[in-house]
Amino acid sequence: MNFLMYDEETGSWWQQISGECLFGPLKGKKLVRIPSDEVTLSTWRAEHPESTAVRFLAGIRYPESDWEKRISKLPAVADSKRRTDLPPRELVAGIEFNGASVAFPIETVRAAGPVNHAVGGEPVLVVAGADGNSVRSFFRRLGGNVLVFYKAPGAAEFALIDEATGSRWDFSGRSIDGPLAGRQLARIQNTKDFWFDWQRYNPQTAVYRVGR
Amino acid sequence: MILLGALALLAAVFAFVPLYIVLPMTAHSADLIDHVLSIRRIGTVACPLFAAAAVAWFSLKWRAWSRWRRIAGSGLLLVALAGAVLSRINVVEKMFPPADGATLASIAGFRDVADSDMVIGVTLGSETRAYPVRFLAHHHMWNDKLDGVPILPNY
Repeated sequence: MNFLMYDEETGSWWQQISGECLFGPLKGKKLVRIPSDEVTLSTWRAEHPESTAVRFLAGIRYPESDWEKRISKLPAVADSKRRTDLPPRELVAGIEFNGASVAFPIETVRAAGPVNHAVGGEPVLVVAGADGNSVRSFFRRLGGNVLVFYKAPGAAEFALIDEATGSRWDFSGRSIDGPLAGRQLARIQNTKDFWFDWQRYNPQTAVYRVGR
Repeated sequence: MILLGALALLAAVFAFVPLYIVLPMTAHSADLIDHVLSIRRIGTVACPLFAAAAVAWFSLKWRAWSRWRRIAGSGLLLVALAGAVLSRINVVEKMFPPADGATLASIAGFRDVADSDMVIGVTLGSETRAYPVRFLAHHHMWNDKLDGVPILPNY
């Protein structure tokens, strides 16, 4: 991840991760980031039956489904200022808010279940979907209350419950049952990135660990 | 001959140094990127000038030169000319051609990737679209429009 992008119209060079123009006539300008989701096709299809999908072009050999496994074995870029909190190629879901940033190791989020934490003083929820690959983050503040989430015990399908009301919530952050049914948590964008890349652009980042 | 050599060297330096930005597995600092792209910008003008000077010098001198000097001189001339050509080509764009013009499918019948493969999903206004990560991992950038807004999904 992370490269330079070049626009034909002005010949300016842009940084992928920040959307910032580093060189050329538009230097200092920044592209607006739009919210996006990185989830499995099945999750997206179930949640957005109205969606279109971009088709493969003919005659191109696209990477195989397991291409990320091969990438994860590549060496990481050497960087003398590198922090060693995590292995360089560890995948994290990074969140920036209020000038603070926290890296949530995706493996930890998967294993520990929903993560109730805070970024920049704001309570957030980081949760892996039933497919095990998708990770989403939400603000835990709803009205005047801060909710704390658990995995619903014994549920066959993916469901979270909140501690205060026992309402059930789905992976899109909507309450599907209980006193809060119909309420929707606000999303906060997380960026899936390798640790070596995330720490380079967020040198002050905290790293989430279970029990802290 | 020394002048010709210097011109060839200059053209080569200005043309090849910018390739630093496509070196994989390199920690590129913002300062270095800035310097290298400055060199590239100067090179688009400077390299053709170096090459023109090299051509002029060669055509002025070659009659007086011995056979071996002519061969060496031609070599240096070629280097200067190659530098001039390279400085005018955006090599990066040739390596990673810009792409757009997607064919769309409805999500219900979309089978280009497996159900367990990841997609980047975007909703803007009234439009919702999925970009398979395997698709973006190949193209890296895809110029698209969603709900009338130009967007750049990238991976």
